[in-house]
Amino acid sequence: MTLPRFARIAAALTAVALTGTSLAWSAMPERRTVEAGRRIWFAKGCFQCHGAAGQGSIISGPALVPFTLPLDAMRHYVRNPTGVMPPYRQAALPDDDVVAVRAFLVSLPAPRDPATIPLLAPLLRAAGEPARPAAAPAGGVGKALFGRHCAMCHGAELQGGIGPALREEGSRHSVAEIQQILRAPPAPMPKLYPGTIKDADVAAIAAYVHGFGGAKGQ
Amino acid sequence: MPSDMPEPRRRGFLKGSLLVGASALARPAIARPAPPTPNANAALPTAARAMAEAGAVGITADPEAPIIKHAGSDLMVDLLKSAGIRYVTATPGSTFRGLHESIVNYGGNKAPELISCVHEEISAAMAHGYAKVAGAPIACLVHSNVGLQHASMAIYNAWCDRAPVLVLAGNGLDATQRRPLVEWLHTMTDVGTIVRDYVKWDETPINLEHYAESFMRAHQIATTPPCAPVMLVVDSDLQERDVPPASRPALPRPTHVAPPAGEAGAVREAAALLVAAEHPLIVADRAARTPAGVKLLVTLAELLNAPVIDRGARMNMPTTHYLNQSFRPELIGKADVILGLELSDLWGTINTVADKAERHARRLAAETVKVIAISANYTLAKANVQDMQRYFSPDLTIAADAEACLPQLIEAVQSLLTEERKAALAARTPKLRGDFAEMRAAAARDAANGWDASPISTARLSMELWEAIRPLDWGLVSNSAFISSWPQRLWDITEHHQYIGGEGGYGMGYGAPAAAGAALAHRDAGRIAVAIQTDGDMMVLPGTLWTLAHHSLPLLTVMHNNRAWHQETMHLTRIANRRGRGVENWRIGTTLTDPPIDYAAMARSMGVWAEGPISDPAKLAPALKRAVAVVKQGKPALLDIVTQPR
Repeated sequence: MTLPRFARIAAALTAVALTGTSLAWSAMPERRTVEAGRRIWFAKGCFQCHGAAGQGSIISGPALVPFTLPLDAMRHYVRNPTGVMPPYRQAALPDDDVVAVRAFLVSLPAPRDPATIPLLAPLLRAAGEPARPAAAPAGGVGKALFGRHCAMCHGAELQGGIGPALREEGSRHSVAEIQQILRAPPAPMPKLYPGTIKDADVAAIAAYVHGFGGAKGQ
Repeated sequence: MPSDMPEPRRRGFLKGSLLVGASALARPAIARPAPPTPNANAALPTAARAMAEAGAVGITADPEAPIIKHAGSDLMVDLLKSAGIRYVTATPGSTFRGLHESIVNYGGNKAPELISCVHEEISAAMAHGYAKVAGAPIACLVHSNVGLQHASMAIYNAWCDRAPVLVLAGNGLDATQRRPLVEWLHTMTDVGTIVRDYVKWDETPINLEHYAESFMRAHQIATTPPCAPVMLVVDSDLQERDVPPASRPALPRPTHVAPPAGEAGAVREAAALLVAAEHPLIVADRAARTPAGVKLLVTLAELLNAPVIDRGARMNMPTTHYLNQSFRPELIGKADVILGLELSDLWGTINTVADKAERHARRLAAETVKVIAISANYTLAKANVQDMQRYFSPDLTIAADAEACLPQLIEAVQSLLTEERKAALAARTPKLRGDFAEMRAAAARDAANGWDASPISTARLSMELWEAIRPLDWGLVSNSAFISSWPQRLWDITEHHQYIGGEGGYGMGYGAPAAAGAALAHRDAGRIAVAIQTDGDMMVLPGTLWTLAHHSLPLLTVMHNNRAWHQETMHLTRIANRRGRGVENWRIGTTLTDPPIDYAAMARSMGVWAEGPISDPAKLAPALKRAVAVVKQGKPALLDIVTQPR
């Protein structure tokens, strides 16, 4: 026997309401985590070097927005940093706190495009200097992908940071070898392939890194 | 009764006698002497006779006290004028009251003009900042040992920063002339010991002729590169004694010493290394002493087509020039020849030590790099202070003032450049231009990070300020380091006077008074001065604000108010992390909160126009516009901006 029409509608509405509530409930722990992360960010002094907005400074610590570092890599680095960052051991920053801080960083707004800021846009043209010649054959796409997925650790200019500098990779490895590293990275480098980056991305990033600073032998 | 007694007294006496006589009728008769017979011809006593009998009662024959018409300190003012000293900064003190009065009355308070300061450290730091803009020293008067102790931090900063300052310290050397208590407490046998380790020269002259010669010697030593503060004791007795014209010493001429240039052979050798280099790099710190130094450095860099890293103790290289690649530290490691020009720290340019528990040195430059160092500092050494930094042996060392040596080096380079070599060097240009463009673009991308954040990002503060001042004739008079060097990364800094570096000795308290002194020099040149002022530094000598208002100095102070001694917040966090305890206690003893200081109210209390606190970046531009309007009228203004840490 089918339900009367009004009952079917009521059931449908109830189901929608329950789903929405469930979604809201599932979003609340995330918001709580982000808020907890924000409190830890300030309480444990992270903002001192990386800024309240994760913007960093050349004299204190790198920018951390947009934050793309996987949790494992982040946890590994804060416990035993290779740079001048002081170590945050388990007692000072438990694993749950690392999760919360990461959630906070991920929640921070991405940097604005300076081209949209009138006070900064002229600098992109560098006072009329000619545009920089492409330092790598696939500089455009590869550079953009590198910036999105790799610069957090290796620096926007491949100068290193959390991860090693990559400016001499073109002298040390062939393009094929760099692609292999991207597909099967050594720990603690996050494994972004094939989940986050695909074959075409691997090829573009490898070509960009290999060619950085000028063409080198394959 | 004396016969020469004046008539009214005699009558009174007689009357009294009659009364006594009447009363005597009631008593038994006593034999009395007969009263004297008055002498009608007796002369009245004179004042001189009365004085001779009674002693002097302070009345002299002359109607006025003698005037000291030829004070020793008048000559001291003549010396200041002869040496071209335009200003004397001072907190008043009794040990130099003579010179103070001579400046005001004998000298007409003009060239030199007395600049009133509420603390001697302000006096000395103002002289430091002034010298870097004007290219000439002023004098700073201090009250013996206590005043000199106050001033000593600022004198140390000036020493480290190689800035000429004439410190004149009042003192009372003759113990027999000191009044009890204070004049003994405020004097020393050798007052120069307080600062001897960080002045280039000091002396205690014992007569006026000695003083005159020593003053000119002090001026000469201070202004000969490597420039530095000097101290001269100005004895109270020398100031206040009357010196008859016949005894007055002649004024010695000032001496201007041509700065030391480089040994010819060494300069040729340096030129050869640089011309042959494939990856030359020039690192400049205090290279440009004057505007000419900037032009010379640009000429050399262009001849070699060599990038320049400007370390920023002075403005050495225009930020708009494609060879200014100051924010590409990787160039140190790539260079095959490095030319260091008046570097504060050559060892620290080639190497670094990270602030980790184990202090290991790490080399930044290639092992095979050839290092050439040109600096006048090789002629100056003090044993106790350690500003010379860690020992480093360059491949070629030239003891010369860099700016004075540059013409020789340029000529030597020109003589070695063949047409073929010129073409090879020119081939570097496209990459260099591209690298420069990318460096500036990267700075713009970094600046966009946190652009709309509150507290306000230092990038946002810097760029809004730049927008407000760029149409004017301006000079930045604060240290850019603690504001992430945004002005050097984003502004067009093209003139020598537009940046003067920082403390030298990194001694806190330099910022506000040095900015005031620099603003004084900028005012004379028809410019406005701009300072991005850190809060902790301001609180060391906030009384500077009164001097700004009192003397109408056109300084725009924009507070970089991160409500902490931020460097120390990071230190405390670092140590707590190393020790695995109390990481969350970093606020204790490092923050300027509870309550937060109201810098605008503080400034207004001392007569400075001010607004704030402002933490909304959207409110920056209109507030800056209002503040700039005040400064364009020749008055100081302050904006309290609540900012990100760095």
